[in-house]
Amino acid sequence: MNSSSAPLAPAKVSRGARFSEHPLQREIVALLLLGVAFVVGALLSKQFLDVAYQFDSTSLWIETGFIALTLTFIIVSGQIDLSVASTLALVAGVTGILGTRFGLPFGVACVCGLALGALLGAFNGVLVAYTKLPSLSVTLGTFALYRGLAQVLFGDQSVTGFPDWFVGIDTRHLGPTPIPLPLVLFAVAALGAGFVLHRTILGRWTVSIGLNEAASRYSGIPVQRIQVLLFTMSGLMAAFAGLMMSSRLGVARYDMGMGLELDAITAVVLGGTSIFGGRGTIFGTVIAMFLIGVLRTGMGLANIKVENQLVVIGGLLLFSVVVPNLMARGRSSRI
Amino acid sequence: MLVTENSSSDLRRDPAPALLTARGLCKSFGATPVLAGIELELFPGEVHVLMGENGAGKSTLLKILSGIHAPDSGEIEVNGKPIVLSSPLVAQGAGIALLPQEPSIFPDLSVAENIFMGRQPLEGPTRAVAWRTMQTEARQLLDSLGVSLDPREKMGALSLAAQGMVEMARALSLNAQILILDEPTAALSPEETRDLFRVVSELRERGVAIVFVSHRMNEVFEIGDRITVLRDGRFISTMLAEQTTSDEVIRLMVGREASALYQHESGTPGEVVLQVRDLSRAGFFHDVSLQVRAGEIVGLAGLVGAGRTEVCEAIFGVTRADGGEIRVNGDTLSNHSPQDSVKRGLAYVPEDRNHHGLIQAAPISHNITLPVLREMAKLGVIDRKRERETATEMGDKLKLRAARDVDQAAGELSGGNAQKVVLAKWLLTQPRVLILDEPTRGIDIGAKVEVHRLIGELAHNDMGILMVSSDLPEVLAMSDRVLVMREGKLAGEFTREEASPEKIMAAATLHAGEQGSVISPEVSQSVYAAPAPKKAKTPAASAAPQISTSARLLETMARFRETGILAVLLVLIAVVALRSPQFLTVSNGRSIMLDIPLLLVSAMGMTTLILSRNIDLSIGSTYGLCAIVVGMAFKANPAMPIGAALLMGVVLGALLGSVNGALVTWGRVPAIIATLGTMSVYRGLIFIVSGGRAIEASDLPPGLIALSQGSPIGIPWIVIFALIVAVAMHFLLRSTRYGRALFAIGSNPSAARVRGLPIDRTIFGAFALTGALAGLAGVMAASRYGFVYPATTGSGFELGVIAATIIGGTNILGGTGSAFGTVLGCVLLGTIQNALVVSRLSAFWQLAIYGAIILFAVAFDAIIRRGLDRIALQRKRAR
Repeated sequence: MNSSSAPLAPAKVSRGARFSEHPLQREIVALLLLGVAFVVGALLSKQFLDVAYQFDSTSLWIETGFIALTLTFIIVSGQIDLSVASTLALVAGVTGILGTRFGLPFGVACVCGLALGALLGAFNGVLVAYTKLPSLSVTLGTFALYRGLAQVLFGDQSVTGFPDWFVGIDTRHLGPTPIPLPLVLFAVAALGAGFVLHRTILGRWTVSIGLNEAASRYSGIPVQRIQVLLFTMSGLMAAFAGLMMSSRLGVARYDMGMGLELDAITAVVLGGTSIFGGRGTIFGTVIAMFLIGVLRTGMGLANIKVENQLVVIGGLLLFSVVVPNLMARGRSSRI
Repeated sequence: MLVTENSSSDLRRDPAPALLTARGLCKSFGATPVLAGIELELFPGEVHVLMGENGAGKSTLLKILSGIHAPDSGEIEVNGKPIVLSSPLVAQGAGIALLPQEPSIFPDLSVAENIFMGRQPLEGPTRAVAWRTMQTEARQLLDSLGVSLDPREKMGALSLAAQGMVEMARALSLNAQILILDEPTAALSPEETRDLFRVVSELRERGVAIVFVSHRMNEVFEIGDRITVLRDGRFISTMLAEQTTSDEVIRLMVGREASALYQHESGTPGEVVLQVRDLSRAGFFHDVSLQVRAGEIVGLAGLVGAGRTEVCEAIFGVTRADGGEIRVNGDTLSNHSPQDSVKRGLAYVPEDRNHHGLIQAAPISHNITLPVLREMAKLGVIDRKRERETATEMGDKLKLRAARDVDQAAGELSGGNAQKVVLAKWLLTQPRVLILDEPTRGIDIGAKVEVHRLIGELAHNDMGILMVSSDLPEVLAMSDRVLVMREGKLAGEFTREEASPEKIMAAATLHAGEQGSVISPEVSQSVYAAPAPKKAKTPAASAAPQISTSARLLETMARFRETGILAVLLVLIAVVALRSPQFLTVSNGRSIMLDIPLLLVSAMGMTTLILSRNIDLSIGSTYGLCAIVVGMAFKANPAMPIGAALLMGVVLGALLGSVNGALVTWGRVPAIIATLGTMSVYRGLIFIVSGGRAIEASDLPPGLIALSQGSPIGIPWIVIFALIVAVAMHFLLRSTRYGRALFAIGSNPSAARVRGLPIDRTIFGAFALTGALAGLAGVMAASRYGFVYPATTGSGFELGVIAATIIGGTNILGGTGSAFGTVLGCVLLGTIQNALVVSRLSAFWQLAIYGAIILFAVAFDAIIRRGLDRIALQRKRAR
């Protein structure tokens, strides 16, 4: 065993490793699919290559993108949050009412809305962390509860009358460039989220909890506080997305962002995050979000109806999970 | 060749032919050979002990014998006939039963069902599970082993020992000729071990061959007839137990003379670093006071279950003590968390290394730096170079031998190296006090000596060490002082000079005043085979503890959960009826009746899925797609018979459900993801198929509409359908092997796999069934509402279905639930919906109320379940 006197010498990266064992395999698949989508889109329609059009169309899914960023943290930590779209609607409506009917300065109303989002998220987090209820059931409950409260508060009326400065964030661009402001914000948020998840203590703790919650607790990680924090972040981000959506649409309604949580989960899983927790990258989520966006844009240009696009998006999600699974299976049966 | 030359003629039971003969077994995982040329012969009526260090290949051999792994080469004969043990079922059929180290049981099911799962006795023309017969047979089996347990008791409420007995009864009922016991005594008290040995002897008398794996030398010689030693995946020797000695066995196992245990030399202890006063936690330990000085190793001995680990966990802050005081370095710790303890200089190496000590999937480096991550970071950003260097340095210091480097996953390490990672991680925090819980359990002899030496060095460097150990030689060799716990209390304290195996055993097993009375010289030899207590008790005999009132209340609430829903329902009806009298009119009752069937039929399918740990989010889309397809069929051919329409809905639904089932079973996609995907796909298909056009009432024949208006007996047909489905599902879940298998899979999927239950087929069937029922509900919806809209029909329907199922008591974590509960859940939701309309409250309240009700039901179940678990735990400990 003499050669093991330096047993922990830095490893050489094995170049011969097969692609199916590459740690970023799922992200690379998503990236390849994105490339394919671009090529096909360009072949189908000339307008597809219009840069300004491409940039502007990102605003349609950017709210989902923001939510998918924090949802990546939640799923990596081994939990799920189904209540994000309901939080978005409730916050957008409450902010609108505070700002228009209660006469609060609209900026103050927005801050109140963000605080409410954080609170709604924290409620999920406290239930999950301190009562040990499965997050699937808790957030299924608050999914209905938050959207239901929005329904009770606003009925089927639209909240309108927002100040001019608030409306139309998607029509503003970064200086003279064709890059819309929401996309810039998303880029900043994604870089920040990626940095936090992959480079910081909070990120490492999130991954550790997702891999083994008990061992994390025994190692002195404040598991419950982290869980509450992650759900609070998720609620806050949903609130932010809600404000952005009412800015874009110019109204707030109880049925805003209906089904958006499913798009966000699709993006996270398509981007390679394990639904069982412990593994995932922000890079993958962002790529998958762009993939979904490009597909939707491309299909829209090709005159494929929004509803029919569902088939493609759903099929893509299944494809991205089934194929690596079957590859892994084929590999293990060969051994 | 198979036995050493001089012993083959001595075999007591020769010339009986061998039950099993294995020759030249080889097995590799990838490029790593784990077994090479294994020889094994098993004779009827022998206890054959399998010994070897960790990594010697014992567990792989056991898995080959029980059909879990296939050997790469070599042959196995059972009763003289060659056989390929291709699956656990084949092995079971050949009379081979494996009892794994952690019993693979179904905690939510009864003892009788645990024994007979998958082969329950059936009766009558319906081939229903014969519950009474099954319970009688279970009782007879247990009685024949001298174990008195109630076959109706829930398996999860039994002690580990009692669960082991049930497992043996199961093996017996399978007519097992060969019983493989993988470290059955590892977690048992001496008393329980003795009971186990009694049952093993009983089986031996009946001519069963028993393969027995143990690391405890005294047990090996107490129960074993022959001993086979493996080393590094190779067959070394088979010997008669009476012709060999523990020294020889150890020599064969390690391939060298057994190195003497490391002897710790006491230094001069310094100031008190850990002071515990009157620490108590109800049901676990009482008034524990102890202190540890700097440079001192305090051994904490006692039987398994004496409360030692619980004391350590309370000191470290993993659990909360009810009372008492803890001081580390003079600082008082109360209501503290592990992170507070770490800050004060406390570290804890837990007993369960794989689940609590390590994050197995994470790299070694991440594991080592986990508690000191803040020191590896600036402003929260991890310096990865520094982290890697620190981990590497620490690993080298502890002579960590990883196959690659610190990037290797910790779970790939052997027991000894894994423990070094845990030690490295805690030493980095530079603790003043180190608590070690079974530091060398499951570690081979070589690594054990290294760990002992390390502990000794740490003490010499003035660390205070509290060491829990069930390994008596280890306690004696290492400790400056020995504390002994018994039944949650400190029962003795000995200095290094005073301590002896006899004294420690006496303190650990006897009541005050009886000490010394039963001690005999044999006690010291058989380390933890305790002296016989006065009353010989089977685990079951002591299994009837007093049940507290609160426990009774909880159990009653759990048992009558359905009654609870009924009560809520009645209160709801009364309140609404007082406010709005028209609520109780016949026409309103009829309207409620019509709202419920669609939900009910769909929720019945969802119940089978949720209780088997699955879910179907696509149920609303399936329902909508079936409704629209049937509607279009009517549009194209108005004369289509109603029966054909129903059949069409069911078949299409079953097909869509089968796609889900195939994705989950064959594609290995988690159910929530698979059905999230098909939810979109099916909803999209609705638009593609229909071209976005709705089906209006004029497109549907009057015969279909009539289904929801009446029938020859006055009740609408759709209500009758729902009742039939409910009764059929009640029968399916309660009285068929298929239904019970769903419960088993939900209760413990890996146990279901080990038992050879057809998991994939069962789950696939549940998805197909759920789809079929959703399809039926879709056709019923077309009848009830008289229209189908592509965008709205069935959209969001899954929420109501899942809500009704959870409210009805089906556990979202699987294993429990009932058709009746789901019926009540549906009736409750339907009534609420109607009450909102009648009370002229906005229908907008419905969603919020659903949400609140889901949260309430889930929280209620969690509270009950946790209460029951606590009671079960206290009962286990009461033994």
